[in-house]
Amino acid sequence: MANKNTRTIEVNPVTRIEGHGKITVRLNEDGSVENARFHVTQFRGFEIFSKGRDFREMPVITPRICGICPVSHHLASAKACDEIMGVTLTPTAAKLRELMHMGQIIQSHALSFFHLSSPDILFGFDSDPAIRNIAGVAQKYPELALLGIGMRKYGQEIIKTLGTKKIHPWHSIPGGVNRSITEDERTSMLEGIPNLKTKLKETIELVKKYLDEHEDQAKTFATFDTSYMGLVKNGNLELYDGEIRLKGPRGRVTDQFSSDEYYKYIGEHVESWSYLKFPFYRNLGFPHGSYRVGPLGRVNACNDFSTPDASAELKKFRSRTDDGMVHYTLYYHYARLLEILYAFERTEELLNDSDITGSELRVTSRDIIAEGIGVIEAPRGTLIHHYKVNEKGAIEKVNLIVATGHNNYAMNKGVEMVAKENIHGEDVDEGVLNSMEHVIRCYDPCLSCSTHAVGKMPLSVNIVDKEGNSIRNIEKH
Amino acid sequence: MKIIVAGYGNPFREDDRVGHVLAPQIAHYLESSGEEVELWIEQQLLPEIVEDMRDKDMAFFVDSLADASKGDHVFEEMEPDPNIEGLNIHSMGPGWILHLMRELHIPAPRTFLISVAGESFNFSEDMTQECKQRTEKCFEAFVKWWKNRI
Repeated sequence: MANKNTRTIEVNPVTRIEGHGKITVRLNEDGSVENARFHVTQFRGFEIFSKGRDFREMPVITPRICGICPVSHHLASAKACDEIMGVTLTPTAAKLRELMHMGQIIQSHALSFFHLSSPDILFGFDSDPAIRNIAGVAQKYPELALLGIGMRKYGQEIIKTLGTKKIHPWHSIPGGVNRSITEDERTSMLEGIPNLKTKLKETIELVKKYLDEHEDQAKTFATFDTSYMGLVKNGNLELYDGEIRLKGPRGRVTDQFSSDEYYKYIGEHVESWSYLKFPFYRNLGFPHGSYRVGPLGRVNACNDFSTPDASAELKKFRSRTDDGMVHYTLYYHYARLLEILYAFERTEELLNDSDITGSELRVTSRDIIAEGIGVIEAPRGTLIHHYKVNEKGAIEKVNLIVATGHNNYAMNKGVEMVAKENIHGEDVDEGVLNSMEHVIRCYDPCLSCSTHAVGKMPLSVNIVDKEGNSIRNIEKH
Repeated sequence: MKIIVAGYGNPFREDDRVGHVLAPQIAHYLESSGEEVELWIEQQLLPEIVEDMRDKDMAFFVDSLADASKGDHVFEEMEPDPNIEGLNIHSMGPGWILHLMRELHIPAPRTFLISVAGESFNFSEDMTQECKQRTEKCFEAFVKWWKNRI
């Protein structure tokens, strides 16, 4: 029940993120913030209407959840279907899938940093909203804007080459993939990497400089100690296929388990005020078992990157704290750029592997195993597709735990921290509202994915009193 | 002449798919007329298209028109426009793309927007009969314009 002496501020919609969201700030009578919540207000229900479909259709159905990371759903779904068929992919198929995934990581991370978040960093959270966008970046920092556009284009071309379309491509099929790449395509992809990688390293230096010049803000902005989760292979950061690792705030590996056993370790908490669930580590319960995923989650959870340049950069990243664990939320952007560097290096490795132009693309099977689980690291974090089928292969149950959900607790806590620090009464300036939005942007959530919702993402900020009565509502459409 | 023909819209929303239907027709016609044509089909415009437009002499954007009062089809030359409809890059138009090119100091081609009035935008992969007829007329008008453009 709402306390009678509080008021509420609502930020609606949150902008420059993927999907729709709303922030509600509840004020006490003295104008201080009692709490703040990030709501995800839409619902689409892929888990329900997929029932009854043939499991082989799922790699085509589930990417429709989202236009930003359809590749991630496509691949996680295909991996779940591989398990239902009981097959192991050929090396060529596995590497082609990973190649498409690298294209997805590059284009999605570039979108998040260059198009959506860099305006706040380059111009400041409280700068004029009219210039705080990609066009503003293009005007004042054209080389940076061009780099973002170039990286997006590079990643999307990989996706299109393999899957014929940039958005909602079709390449993976249960048991393999439907096409390889030609020597010309391989050469073309390789040619594009060196220049982009050089400019990316310059951008990493730019971000480090920004973090140094804004050290206090960078280290305190929505920062708190958490556990971290991500896939690892031989202890190294892994994006396509590995074991799930949880690492505690002080750097101890809390647990590491096969992705097929995720449900034994990860539970999902539900709150009535959001359609986005709150996954947590079962052994610690909710909320103590909450953790963070995505770029910061992965670089904290792993021992190292397997590629040389990214590994060297990770050492510098970790040198910024005494114990090597980086809890600073603004460092999500830094970690995101390190992952782009890794994705370029991994793309080079894959393209230089002779398997990549092989012709053994698919393994067939008539077996139908009752259950299949596919887990990959989507750009935003760990993505889990879990299907149960009947003896004919019709879907009986679907569980999707999407990347954004894992960060739900952290996004709420971060928004509340910024609100409590900056809001004193209902007169809130735009810069403060944008700071709350930027907490969410650090995590690069995809609310279309996490709720499987339709549409773009307006956000509202609502200020309510203790009785729940709205006293100020700021909406962006 | 190097030409890009960019069709966009949601192909699962009835008449919003008109860009996906008409752009290939226009591209094929221009190609058969001896032009060097790049066909670009997506669900929405994205900043990355500036790189595809960089080396072109002419660009045609093909989209649906929600407001039928402007006519069955509208053919207009575009100028840079800094105003973005809505909040994010999901809703940018050709004018904003030209604005972005200007900010990035990328020479822009002469650019036209061809819009066909939609009748309905519900969930379907088929266009309405009305929109199909308008699309045919629009294509005929384009061919006539192209032949007489000098």
